[in-house]
Amino acid sequence: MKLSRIAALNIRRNRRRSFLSALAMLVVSAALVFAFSLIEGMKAEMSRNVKEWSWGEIKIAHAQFEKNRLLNPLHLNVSDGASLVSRIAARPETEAATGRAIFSVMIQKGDRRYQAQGWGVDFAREESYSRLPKYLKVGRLPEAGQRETVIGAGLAKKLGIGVGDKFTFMTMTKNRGMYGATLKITGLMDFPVAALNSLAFVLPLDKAQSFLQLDGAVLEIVAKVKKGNDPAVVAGAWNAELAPLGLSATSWTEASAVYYVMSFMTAIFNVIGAMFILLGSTVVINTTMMVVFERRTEIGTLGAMGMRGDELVRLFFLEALFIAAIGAIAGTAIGCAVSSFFAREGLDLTAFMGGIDVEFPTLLYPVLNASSVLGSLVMTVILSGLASLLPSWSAARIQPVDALRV
Amino acid sequence: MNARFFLGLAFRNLTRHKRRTILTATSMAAGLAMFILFDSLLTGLQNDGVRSMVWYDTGALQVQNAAYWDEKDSMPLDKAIERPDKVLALLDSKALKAAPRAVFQGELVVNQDPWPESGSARVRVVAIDPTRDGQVFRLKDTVAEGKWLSEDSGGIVLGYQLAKDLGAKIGYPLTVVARTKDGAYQTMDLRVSGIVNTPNAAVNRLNAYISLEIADEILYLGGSVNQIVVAYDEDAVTDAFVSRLGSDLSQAESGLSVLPWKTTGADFLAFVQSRSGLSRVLLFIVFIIAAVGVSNTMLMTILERTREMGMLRAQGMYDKELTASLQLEAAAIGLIGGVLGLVLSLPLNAFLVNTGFDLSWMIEKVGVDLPMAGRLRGAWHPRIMFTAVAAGAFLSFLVSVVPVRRAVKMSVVEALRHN
Repeated sequence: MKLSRIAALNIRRNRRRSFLSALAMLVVSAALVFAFSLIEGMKAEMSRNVKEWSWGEIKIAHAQFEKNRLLNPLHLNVSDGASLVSRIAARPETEAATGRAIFSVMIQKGDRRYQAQGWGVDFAREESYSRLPKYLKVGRLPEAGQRETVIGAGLAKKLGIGVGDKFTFMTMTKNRGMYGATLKITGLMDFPVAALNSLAFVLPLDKAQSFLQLDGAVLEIVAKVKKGNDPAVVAGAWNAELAPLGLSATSWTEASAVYYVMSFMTAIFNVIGAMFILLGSTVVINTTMMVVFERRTEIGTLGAMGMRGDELVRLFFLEALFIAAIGAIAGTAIGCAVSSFFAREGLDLTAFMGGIDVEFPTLLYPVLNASSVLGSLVMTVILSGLASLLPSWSAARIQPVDALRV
Repeated sequence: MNARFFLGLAFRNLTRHKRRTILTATSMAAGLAMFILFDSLLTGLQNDGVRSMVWYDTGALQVQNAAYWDEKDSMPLDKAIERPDKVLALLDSKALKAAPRAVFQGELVVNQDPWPESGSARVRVVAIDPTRDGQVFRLKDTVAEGKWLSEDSGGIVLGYQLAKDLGAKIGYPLTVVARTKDGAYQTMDLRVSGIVNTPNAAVNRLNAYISLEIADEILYLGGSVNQIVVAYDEDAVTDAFVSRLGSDLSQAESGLSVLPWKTTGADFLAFVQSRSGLSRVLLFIVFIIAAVGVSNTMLMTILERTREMGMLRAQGMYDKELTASLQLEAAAIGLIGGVLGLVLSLPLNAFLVNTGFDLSWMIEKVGVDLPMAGRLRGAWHPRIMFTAVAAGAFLSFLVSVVPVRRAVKMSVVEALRHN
């Protein structure tokens, strides 16, 4: 009889034992797939927030702007923003691009003053760049040319105002004059970045340009590149063209502080992932070893009946492999199903935060990634097979008489 | 038969099946140790955030004028503690270390030559008492260039990122524009005397420090401050302690309130907490994996012994006795494994807490020196450690209940035939 057939028969013979050890593999691989999808989801969210909001994937600004950012240097701008944005967006390697004028303001409310940040944006282009309209919580977006704004939910709460209310801010124009303007709130934003939620309000770019006397200029252009392009390389290529205009393009990977924090967090998540693998392996190895050790009598009997040592080892290896494969495939399927359910619906982390009230959305969208799914499947099966080797090998070597004696 | 017999039998069973005991206990130990270490890292990550806030920004407890909190965003100097000396004396008498601070909005005005550009930057100016501040905050240890403020210094110390953005060098002159306690605009001419690089990014980006003496004189504070920060072990701050301290302080000055770091740092904590949700989900998954490992090996151990149980019953052992001895054995294995896991986790966790993982090799080199150490550290979390051991032992006992009951219900003949 072929060994694989004996192995299959053995699995069926002791159903409960096979079921139990397959169940262990199932839970381990389902848990690993889900845990990794959470980790990948967190990483994806982090990098999306940096690329779409906090920094940009590639940022084009006046070459001197970043260095003098704190001094509010509106004269260091990107003149004729609209046409440069169109040119950048038309490039084959560009996925999306948009111009922004982000400026700091003071909002006077009664005799209190609050610091805030105005975001002058092009709503049409923002839709494909940052999916801004998706984050509108209530109300509607401002219309171009109107003194209207949508404001971070946290900022609105701080100021004690809501949709339909007006507020007045003071800012400094390009020519360093003080300028005050009153905006009407048409909606509230749930920015995906916590800091923006309590700080930022969004207004039409043309209005921001006229308040700041920017004369058609923007302060920065952010661009995303198509998949397969290295933003650093693209930024380098663009720089050749932009440098003569006094502008510079910087990839987010070169914006040291941003990238450092990102890679630190990514490294932490990798450590967490490694710990999951370690834990999963111990369970797989332990379960398999347990199963084989408990069957020393059986191994002895088979040996007494004339089965060779290497055959015995192979038999138990195959058995472990089959059981693990059944368990791991089912587990991976369950893990994928759970992850993709939450990838659609979002996993509400507030439920796990001990009732702490935060003013920004805490939905996490797990991301299934083929290599981690296949990885945990293959790992479970192979480890289980390997773990069977030691006990079956040691059992096959002892004299049948000793093995039979328990 | 007495309890001693059961203990003896359970113990003999443990030593008789050494390999089985070892495997089950290892499974328990490994799962437990991983759970403890995992929790340690996640707690460590969170503690780091809390510490960088408490040590460099908020302090553990803040005494404020009760009207200040509502207007904290504008940091008003007129919602003040009028007699800080009395409050400080009272805190001193309770052996609590405390430091007065006047925190306000200011505009740093710099001019070309020596500065690279002319312009102004809005900052948070923190006026401190150089002798007392060091007892509460650890800013002095983070000086990257120049010196920390001393009793007689008329300098200004800038946060690292702020200094970098402005292009500051030690000795550069600048003007601070701020409003006096009555709201009038006033200026202070100061020289950059130091730069601090703290693990707190907000402090590095926003804060500038001057001596309280100068602020008091120029902003007409009349000896008042808007914060008195009290040093205390951040984990030991309880609501009861805060309210007791609040009522004690009313002897020194009325209308004060005491706020714990959980309140003063709420914005920052919201950010940290948003991650803690994920941590808990991950920790829960770790628990599931470990629990499955433990219960599975345990279940298998007992199932494999159906025949043995049949044998004992055939020889006249009562079901009750058999059940007791097996469950005792299961709990003992759980306990052995739990203690083993705890012992195993101690040196590993000590390593995590004291040394931690150096992650800098995983991080692509960037051309700036950043305050973050690039290290992931653990934390001691004794409550979780002992809960985990107890839960482990209980779990392995619990898992044994069903199969043992099932085995004693089986007829003896059938059990003996069981393979």
